[in-house]
Amino acid sequence: MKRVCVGVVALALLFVLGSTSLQAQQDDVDINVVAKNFTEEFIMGQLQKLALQAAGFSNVSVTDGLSSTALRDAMESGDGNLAMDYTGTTFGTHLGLELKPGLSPDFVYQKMAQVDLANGFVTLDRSEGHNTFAMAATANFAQNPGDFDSVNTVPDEVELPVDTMPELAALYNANDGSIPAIIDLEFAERDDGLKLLQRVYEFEISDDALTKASVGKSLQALANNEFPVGMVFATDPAIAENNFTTMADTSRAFPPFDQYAYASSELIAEAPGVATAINNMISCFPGGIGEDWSIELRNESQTVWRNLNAQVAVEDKSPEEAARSFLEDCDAVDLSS
Amino acid sequence: MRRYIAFVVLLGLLLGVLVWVTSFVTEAQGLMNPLAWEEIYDLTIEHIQMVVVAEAIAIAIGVPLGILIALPQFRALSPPVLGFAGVGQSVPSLAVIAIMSPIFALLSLNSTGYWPVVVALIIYGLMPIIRNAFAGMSNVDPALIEAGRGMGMTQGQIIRQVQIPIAISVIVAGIRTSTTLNVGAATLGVLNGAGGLGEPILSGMATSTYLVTLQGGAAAAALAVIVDRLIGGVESWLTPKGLLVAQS
Amino acid sequence: MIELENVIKVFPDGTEAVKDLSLKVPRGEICVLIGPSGCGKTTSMKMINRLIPITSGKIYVNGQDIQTFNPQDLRRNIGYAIQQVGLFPHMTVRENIEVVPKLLGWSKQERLKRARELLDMVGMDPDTYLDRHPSELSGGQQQRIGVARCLGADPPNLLMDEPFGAIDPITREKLQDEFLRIQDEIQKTIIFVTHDIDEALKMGDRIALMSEGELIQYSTPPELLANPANDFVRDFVGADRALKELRLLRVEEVMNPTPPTVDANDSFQVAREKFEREDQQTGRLRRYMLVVEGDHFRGWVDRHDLDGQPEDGHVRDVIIKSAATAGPDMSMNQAMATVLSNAIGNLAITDEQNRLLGLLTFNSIRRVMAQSYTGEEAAEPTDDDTLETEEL
Ligand SMILES: Nc1ncnc2c1ncn2[C@@H]1O[C@H](COP(=O)(O)OP(=O)(O)OP(=O)(O)O)[C@@H](O)[C@H]1O
Ligand SMILES: [Mg+2]
Repeated sequence: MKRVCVGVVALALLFVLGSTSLQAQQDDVDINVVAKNFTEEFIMGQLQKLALQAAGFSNVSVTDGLSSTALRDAMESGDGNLAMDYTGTTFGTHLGLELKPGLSPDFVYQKMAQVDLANGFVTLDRSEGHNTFAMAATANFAQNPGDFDSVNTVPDEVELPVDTMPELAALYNANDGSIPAIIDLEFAERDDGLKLLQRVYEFEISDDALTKASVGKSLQALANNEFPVGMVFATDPAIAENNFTTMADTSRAFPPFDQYAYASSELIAEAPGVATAINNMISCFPGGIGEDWSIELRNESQTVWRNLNAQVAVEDKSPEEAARSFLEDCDAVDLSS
Repeated sequence: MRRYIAFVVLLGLLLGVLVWVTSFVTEAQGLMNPLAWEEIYDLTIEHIQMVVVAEAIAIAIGVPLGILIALPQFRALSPPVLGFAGVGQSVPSLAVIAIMSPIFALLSLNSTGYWPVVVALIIYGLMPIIRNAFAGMSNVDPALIEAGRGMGMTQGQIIRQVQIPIAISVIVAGIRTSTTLNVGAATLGVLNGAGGLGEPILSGMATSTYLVTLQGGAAAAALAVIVDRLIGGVESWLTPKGLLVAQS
Repeated sequence: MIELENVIKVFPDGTEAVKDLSLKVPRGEICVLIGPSGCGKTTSMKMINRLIPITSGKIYVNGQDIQTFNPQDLRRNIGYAIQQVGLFPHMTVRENIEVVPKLLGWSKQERLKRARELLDMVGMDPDTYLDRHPSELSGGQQQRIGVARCLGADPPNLLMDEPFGAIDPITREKLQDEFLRIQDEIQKTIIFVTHDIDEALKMGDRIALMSEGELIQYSTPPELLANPANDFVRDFVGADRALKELRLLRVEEVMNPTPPTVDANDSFQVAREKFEREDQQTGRLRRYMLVVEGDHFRGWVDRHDLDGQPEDGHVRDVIIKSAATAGPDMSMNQAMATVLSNAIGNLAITDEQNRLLGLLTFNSIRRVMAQSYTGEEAAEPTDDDTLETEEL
């Protein structure tokens, strides 16, 4: 399926661009990778650079530290010609398509690729890393919710450990919504944050039980066991570090925010090898084009991303070192060449 | 009089903004909706609670401490105390709040929400109070203290009947500075989960709903202006008439 | 009564501020402490109310060792006026005066009564000034309140550190005069510090002249002027000792209390007869005579003006208005100044109601001064003084 899709893209390219210098020397190609301003994006910038270098491209520069809109602007203006972003971001924010609960990762990806092609971009492969908000519980709470003062009843449908949204929702509903939770301000307020989860899973958190704070503070409070429930970002290494249990979004309330790459059509036309190199790199992460969605696959992919992020956030490696050691363990990319 | 006009104009402007956004703007650009009056009210109460509790404690500590270190017996303590309080003040308010939370965690106290923020505000607000109480007390003309002593006043009587009445406006001015600063600093409390008017300011920013930021900002600024004016009133009310005449 | 016995003060830094001071101030007298700046005046005074602890020696107030009192009690019973007035700016005049009475637990009525009384005493209208604040008073008024405050609880002993310092000479003289008048009534035992020898001579019953912590001379003002103990005292008192002595004399003591007069209602004939009678008694030709009307002083008459006047006229038709008069309390140096500045030879002495009390002539002034320089006892004024001079 993957290969089919690449084929489609390549065909489309030939159709759009005709036969311009398809066989250009890889040395002549200027590739400017752009990336955003957080750990995962820093690493993604380096992953792309290393993958391209492994494929023989030598004129690769990385510009990172951009805001989400700045990255898109750079791609549109041509200052950048290769980037990694999140499917939901491009779909909803940049293309203005409607993100609603229940959308499948592949649908979002395919739709977005199709629209962006007309914008002059070739959409490359994706992972299943789904980096978005997620509710999480401390290990204690996930294992033994009944031990908490705020929990009087653990309903039958909750199968310990508590690790899905419907289970968490059932716990809240059985206990007057009074289980303390700490969440980030943005997640608290935006309509597609906590409110969306509450709509989809039909539960209430009482005002008194809900504390809003900065992202860092919420994580810290959760790590200190001051709150049993809180919000995390799905690929944050702190989850593994603190042994949090994330609640699986079984109804896909949150649209997919899977890591994927895209390039300007000119770049791909000039050097189709770019697409191959990047897709090979992305294939190091579980999930991909055409894969059917499953909680297991998503968890697996998220764990890979989390561990990668942890190398920078926890082990203090540089993004480049992290990217290099990750790719060294991946057969699809051969760094030695 | 001119200051009164400035106060009315400023407050009018801030409240005008607040009323406009809250009662007349129905749909804001951004990811959230403008706050309703009840929400602003609740947040304001939360905000006031933080500041009032912090200030009450800061006053209870700072005023006696400032007075104490101005006494001849304890004068030697004034450089370290003022130095310590000075450091508390020179650290940005955000940092004081940020530092408090791990300290609470280290002491195995709840590091989230109200108390770490209140303690940070106390520390942040202590300096102007101590400094002014100290300055007010030590700037009382030594001749007056000597006169009191010579007439047979005890040290306590001199402090209560001579020094404090003369220093009171300076002492209250310190409280005023401290409170106004803390009305501002308390907007950062939300980062530690303490709520208050910082909540709309920051969530507005996080969700690009700048009208909500404007609501929180206008409410916090109006609160600061009102508090400043109120304590200013207390200041002139407490200032002995004889000193008011001397000033004018 | 205040008594110091071999009092020594050595400050912790080694400054010997007071060296073996012994001094006795009898009840009801003013003892002026004077000496160059830094000689230990303030220190000596503050040891009396224990603002400064004594290093050694004894101090007795009303016969009791001050160490036997609790310092606060001691101070509440000794009036204290500090060098810088030191009125409490946040208190009204009334509250300032009531400080010590309040400390002593007087009732509100007693305190108010006392405050009014004291304001009256220092010449300020209670209704106008009781509720004013110090900042609403002139410098002189503040000094008055300072004095009233130290009299608040009517203590028998007062310590006053330059109570009239830093004020213009005219107001200062006035305050001094008023204070002497008050002291006449209240008869306090007072230690009064000053820098100013003129003030010392005027105010002191006794003067204690200090230098570098030591008492150099302790005597009455005339004694100090007449018999300076050493060159330091002589220098300190100044070369114009004689002029200063004039200050110590009051007009009353020098004037002729029964000068000859004519009445304004006398006819010219009667007046001429009075002149002639005077001439016969004194053997000299008198040109001017005082004119009275009953008890009241009206002016002068020149005997030449009586000549050639119609017989039915009266003295009042030719009366010459007086250029200046003086009161009996005026010091002689002021009287002399008045005489000189008005270019007159004789000065009529009157009371506040303009009643004639006596006559001071230029000659009598001259004689008193001569005696000061030679140090001889002043002779009693004689009638002789009142005659003479061709000018008024
Ligand atoms: N607390 C102190 N410690 C050390 N020395 C002091 C202290 N107080 C006063 N002195 C010194 O004692 C001496 C006498 O001081 P005092 O104040 O009694 O002088 P004074 O005669 O009142 O002077 P002035 O006329 O200027 O008021 C001075 O040399 C002064 O410097
Ligand atoms: Mg002195």
